[in-house]
Amino acid sequence: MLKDNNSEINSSDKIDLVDEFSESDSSALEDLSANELTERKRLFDIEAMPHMKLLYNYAYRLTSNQMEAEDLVQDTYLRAFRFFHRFERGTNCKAWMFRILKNCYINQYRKTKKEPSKVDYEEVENFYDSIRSEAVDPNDLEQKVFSNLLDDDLIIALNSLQDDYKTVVILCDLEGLSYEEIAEFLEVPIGTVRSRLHRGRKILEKKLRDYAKERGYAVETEA
Amino acid sequence: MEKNTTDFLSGKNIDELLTSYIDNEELDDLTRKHVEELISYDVLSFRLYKSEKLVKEFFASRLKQKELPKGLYSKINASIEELSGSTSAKFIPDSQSLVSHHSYIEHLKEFFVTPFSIGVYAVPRYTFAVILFFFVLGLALVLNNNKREINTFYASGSEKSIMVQAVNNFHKILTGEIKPTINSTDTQEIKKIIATESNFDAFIPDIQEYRLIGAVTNDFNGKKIAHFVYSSGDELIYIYETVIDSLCHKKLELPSEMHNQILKDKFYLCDKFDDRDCAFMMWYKNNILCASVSNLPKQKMYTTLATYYK
Repeated sequence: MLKDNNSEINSSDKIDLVDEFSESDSSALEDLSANELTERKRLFDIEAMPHMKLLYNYAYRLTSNQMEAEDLVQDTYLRAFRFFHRFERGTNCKAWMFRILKNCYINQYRKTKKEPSKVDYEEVENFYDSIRSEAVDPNDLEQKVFSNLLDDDLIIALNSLQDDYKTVVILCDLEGLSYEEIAEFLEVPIGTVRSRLHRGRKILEKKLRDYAKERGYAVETEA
Repeated sequence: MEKNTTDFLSGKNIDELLTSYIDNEELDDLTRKHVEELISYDVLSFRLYKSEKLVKEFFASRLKQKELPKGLYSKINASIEELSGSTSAKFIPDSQSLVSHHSYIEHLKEFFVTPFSIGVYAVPRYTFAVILFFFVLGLALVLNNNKREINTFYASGSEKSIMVQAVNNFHKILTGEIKPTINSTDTQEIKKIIATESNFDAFIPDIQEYRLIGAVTNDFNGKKIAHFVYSSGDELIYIYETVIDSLCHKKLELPSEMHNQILKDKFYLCDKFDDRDCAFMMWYKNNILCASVSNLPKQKMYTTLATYYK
């Protein structure tokens, strides 16, 4: 399980996360009868397939690449179908699928990178504390900062966020998920979702102000 | 009221309450009411609320949700079928509600609309068809422009036409079919010979930068014609001359429109001879009709010979 606040993700946590489904699960597809297989496909179609667009958008935000996002979604669906018996009907299938996608992403990330990244929450908290009470004139923010930024600037700013903050911002602001859905997906309390959301947006605002400042559009802040 | 709000919100994380308020989440009616009141009178809280709201809305509006790529749905379905070990895996079209098959036209349409990735950019495939169309159109226009029209007088002229004779003679000179018989570069000597042979006072211009390489005379319908050839490198200027009374009784022909234009503008100039790449210029010099043909561009020919028709 991903630990909450002020701790690092270590290797053992990652092993727990990515091996959610054991390959030696006795309900492998090969053991299903034709009827059982048909029934699984029917239920999977109803429960899981409608979330494909949402999952694709999330995958795209994680990978910033269409081809990689498509592959990630495909891997997610194949994995979800394979272990569909582990999904409890009546619970939130969307959250379940999101978790699988995130696991697949981390698995893929571990294969392509030499070292898994570590989240230093303390560093993020310190940064947040330093900007927490900064307030700008919203009119200035809109006219001087936002109107002069390119989409690329936004993507860079978003990608520069730590994963946990980036995830909640993407899921809430871009995907439109509720706090409850996000909490279920991340398996954290709703308060944590709100906290990360607030801090993520604050950090984004600071980054965007910095980009605008580089272009000669500075806004004054009040503490 | 303010004091009540302050008391109520005391000890609470105002920042995160504002976040919940922005997202319309988690707040009971009473808390929501107090947050609204706080925003209305506390400038700092208002600014924090408004700024965070702007960030949320800004990202949502600029980074819109992407549509599912064409083919992904069916690709995943097919993969699941394959995973299931189905022996008759069907290709399921993109429609998410019904199993239906696209018609040929729809497949064709889908093919052309499907984005093609060039680096980070995705352009519809029909973009290439549009680019190709304009390229072919441009090429056709360029080639068409290069194809010369044919002067109507030349096209309709008979063997008696001065224009036809002059243009044809020029190309015979180029091919070597006609060669000067008076091989002298001395203008006065040539003039004397022609006067003796042709019985008319030929006009032999001294064209700057061009060398007179020879002359020849002949008869046509009883009329004397003198021909002069000048050269400068690859450039050749040929001048056909006959006295004006050769036009009498239509011994030689000159269309009246051309004649009128020469009277009006002092010269007649054109370069439209289809694949016979040359320029033609005609003028009167005293009582002599001069028709010149060359491989110079029309404008250069005019500037080179303009001195002589005045």
